Amino acid sequence: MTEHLVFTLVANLAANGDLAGHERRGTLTWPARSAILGLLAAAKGIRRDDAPGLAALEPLRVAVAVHDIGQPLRDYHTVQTVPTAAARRPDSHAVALLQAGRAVNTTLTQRDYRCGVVYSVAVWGLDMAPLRDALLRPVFTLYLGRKSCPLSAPPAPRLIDAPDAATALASAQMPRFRPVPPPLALYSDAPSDHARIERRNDVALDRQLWHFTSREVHVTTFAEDA
Amino acid sequence: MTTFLQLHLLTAYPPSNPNRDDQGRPKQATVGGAPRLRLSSQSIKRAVRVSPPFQQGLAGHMGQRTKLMGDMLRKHLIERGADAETARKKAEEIGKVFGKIEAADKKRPDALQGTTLAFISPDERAFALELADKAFAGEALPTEKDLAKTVLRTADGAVDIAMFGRMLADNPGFNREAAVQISHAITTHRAQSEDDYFTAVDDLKTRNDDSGGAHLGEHSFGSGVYYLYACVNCDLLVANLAGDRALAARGLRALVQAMATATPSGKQNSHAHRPRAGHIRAEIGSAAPRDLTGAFFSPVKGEDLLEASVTALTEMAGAIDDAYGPAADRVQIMDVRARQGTLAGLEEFAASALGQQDD
Repeated sequence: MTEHLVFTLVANLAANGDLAGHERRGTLTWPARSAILGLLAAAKGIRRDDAPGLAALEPLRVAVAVHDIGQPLRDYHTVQTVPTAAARRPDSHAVALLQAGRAVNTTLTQRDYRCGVVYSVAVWGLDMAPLRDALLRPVFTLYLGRKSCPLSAPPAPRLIDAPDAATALASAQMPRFRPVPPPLALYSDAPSDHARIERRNDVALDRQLWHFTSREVHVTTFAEDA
Repeated sequence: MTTFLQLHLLTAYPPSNPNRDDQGRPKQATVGGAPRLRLSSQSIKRAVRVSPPFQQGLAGHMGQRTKLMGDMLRKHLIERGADAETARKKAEEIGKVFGKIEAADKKRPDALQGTTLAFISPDERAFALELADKAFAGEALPTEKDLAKTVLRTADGAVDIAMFGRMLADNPGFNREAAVQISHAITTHRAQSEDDYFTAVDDLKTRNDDSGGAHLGEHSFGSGVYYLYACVNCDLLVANLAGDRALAARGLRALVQAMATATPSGKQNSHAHRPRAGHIRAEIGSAAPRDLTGAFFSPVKGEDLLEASVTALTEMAGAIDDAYGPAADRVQIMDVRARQGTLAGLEEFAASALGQQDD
């Protein structure tokens, strides 16, 4: 038997990091290992630049059950860019726009979100009670991927002794204010007989420098079209 | 233990288009399978920053976004009597802590400009000027490493930077983590944008010539009761303001005022939308924060959407407390139609969140 910390992540809007560039910020359908560890770090009050503090969470193993991947939402930001030929050494963006007159270009930037997600999460591998306490009374605000994505229910952390993460996850407390479908898929650090292996680039090597490496994710799918 | 101040607002917007998508329509979202109208968190934060409670109420404690710190230092040194060459050199050395300086322009050899906008607090501006004075008096400038430390601060007196954070690409050690989280606002009920087909009349055209309009156009708008959520990490706010609790309290008062009265200004001249929040629920406590969008996962229906939204919001707060334990230690409500509470009372309540903290 292993002690698991099980909690729930429910949000009206979520962003689960995908490859992101200047104009495009995508989202995958489930939160990455780095997102879960980041959330726990926020709860504990470990700052972004505290590399030893963040490293102390690395032994944790993570499993995420996806109940609702949510509806995709693409938010557009427009940015007006001024060609250098149109405005020489402007004092501000406003002045540049004024000088450029009609010779401006509009760049569309896109940020993807998912609306109405429900995940349950199990983590294990360290002394779990302090992490449970941190989720009950977090030091920093918890959110799903972007600061504009607050949780719609408290994470409701529980300590569960169970042989594996899938069993532990059955004890997650789910919100009653909305339908919660049974899990579509389980993405786990731990191998299991029925799982296929995928790779995901979500192990943070250096959060300051934005360096990540990949890991094997053991994926169990419970329904088609997950 | 962190003290959180959570604000839940319900605001009824008239037909308007405060925040547009790429097609010029009001932004939208699908929640619980039903279409909603949406205001992005970015647009709300800007509306808050430029609102009178911030611009006037917090004057002197607001940051400036600028590329021109270097140039300001150069002009300052020239006023002090420095020659053009020295002024430029010293200003560039100091100014670059705010971001890279652009290569000199042959046509304007004196001008100094950063390559990116930096969000600079009044304190940092003063430190930079002080350093320029010292340099002019003949003191040697600190080495490059110490220079940033002399001018930049990880915490200081700019309330908007403390609340909404900043990034300095060239000196990331002086980035600021935002203390205020603001969600996208969504309508509590099913709502879609509508299209307005309009014509404009030519005043000089007589009925005898041609009675048609002189211009045709289309424009989208929408109306609804929006739910808006914000969560303030009060400890982080105080820390970002270098421990100045009195200023943090002023900031919280201004935030409550601005959230209740400021709106994104898109198409405001076309629609004159100036709504004020009809219902505000403020909560103070240290338990894990949560928004109350669950109340609107099933879209609210009925003749009176504001009333139904208030009921759903209140019921959801109670239901979540029953299931998960109390989300807050103290709650205060202002409801305009029930004549319950005042904005001044809510501001006082918000400011009292700082009294609870233990250092």
